Amino acid sequence: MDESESKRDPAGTDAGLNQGPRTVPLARRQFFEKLGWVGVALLAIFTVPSTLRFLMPRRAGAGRTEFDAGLVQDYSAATVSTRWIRRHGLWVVRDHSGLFALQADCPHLGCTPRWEPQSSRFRCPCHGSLFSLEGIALRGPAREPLKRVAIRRQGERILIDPADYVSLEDAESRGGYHVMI
Amino acid sequence: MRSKSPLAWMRRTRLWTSVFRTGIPQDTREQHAVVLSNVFLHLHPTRVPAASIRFIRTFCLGGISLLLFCVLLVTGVLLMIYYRPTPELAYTDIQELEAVVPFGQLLRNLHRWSGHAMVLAVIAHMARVFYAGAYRPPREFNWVIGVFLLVLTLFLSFTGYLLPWDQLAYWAVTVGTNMAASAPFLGHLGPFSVVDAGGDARAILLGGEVVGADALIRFYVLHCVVIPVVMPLLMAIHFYRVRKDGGVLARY
Repeated sequence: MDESESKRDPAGTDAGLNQGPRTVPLARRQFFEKLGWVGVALLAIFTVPSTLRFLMPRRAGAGRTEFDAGLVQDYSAATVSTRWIRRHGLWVVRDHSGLFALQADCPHLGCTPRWEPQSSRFRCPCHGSLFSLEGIALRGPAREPLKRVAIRRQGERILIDPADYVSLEDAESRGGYHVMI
Repeated sequence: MRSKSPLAWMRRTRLWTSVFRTGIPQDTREQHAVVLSNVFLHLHPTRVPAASIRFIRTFCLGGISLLLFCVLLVTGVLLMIYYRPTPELAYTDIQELEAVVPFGQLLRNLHRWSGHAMVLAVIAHMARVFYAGAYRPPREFNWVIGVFLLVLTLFLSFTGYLLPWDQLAYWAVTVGTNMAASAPFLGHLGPFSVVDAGGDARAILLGGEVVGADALIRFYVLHCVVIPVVMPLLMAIHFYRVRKDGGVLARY
């Protein structure tokens, strides 16, 4: 095959194997080449989204997440109760009119702050953010206040739902995040 | 005049000649043939100018990174034999490696320190290339490959950091993955976010919204399988391109 002939080969796939007229076998070859790419595309269409879905974490079902946090009078002694910190990651705080629950999750990068009774502050060990009793960011990289967790009173019992938490702003505008005692 | 030594006899066997197509090179041309016909050596140039192997040219930083990668590969595979990536076992397995397993402490520390050193070596390598202007054409593509390798090195370091499952690991990864939640497009707190908290970059990394058992196994798979498979591929391209782009001293 000379140079001028190879230039006429539009697909560039012919390495001199075909001696006869080129148009028919090339069209056939190009067809199968395209078919191959269609196969690859179909494979991608079916496998890429399902692989991504596979990597997505499973979502928790609509199970009951609210727990019984004990009697109202259990929270009368201390300002901040740390009894649920390990199991549910929240504090129950007593203020002048009642109770509210703070999520123990630093709004900066998600570490768990510590309650410091001497200074009545929550301090994050990771980057030193400091929060007031109301969960307002006083210092450090955190700018937003700690989240409020849904809390309600049923007779003499306190019920808390750790899966239901909102910003301080939303907690103040909606009900369900403060219990009067 | 055939040599009668056992070594020479071995080199004439059919087995040997089937593996090694070229004999002991006798001249420059045969030396080139040896390099070109070997899958590992062909990544290298067939001829290296003496000036380009002067220490001051590269400070051997790329080579040091490669050496550390090899050390990490060997020690990492050995550590995998004793390490089980579940919250109940991970921490105690590391304690056991440190205290009970013969040479476990040595292996673990080799792995840990080599990992830290590799991050430093790779960053120093990048700085050297930058200050030498070696990212300029025709090597701009190799610079890009290098950036991917740097990111993968950092990602290896980050994913490996969680595996001891101690307090430092736990909170470092909490902080690091929360940063991923602020990534543009793919983080639910980031600018132009297109995903919610249950399906963003952090959730895919952690397998949930907190660092737990799902996060540990995902980091383990990334650290021990995914990244170590991708990286040698990019490394091969990286080394090959050094040769193809004209070597250390090339000026265009």
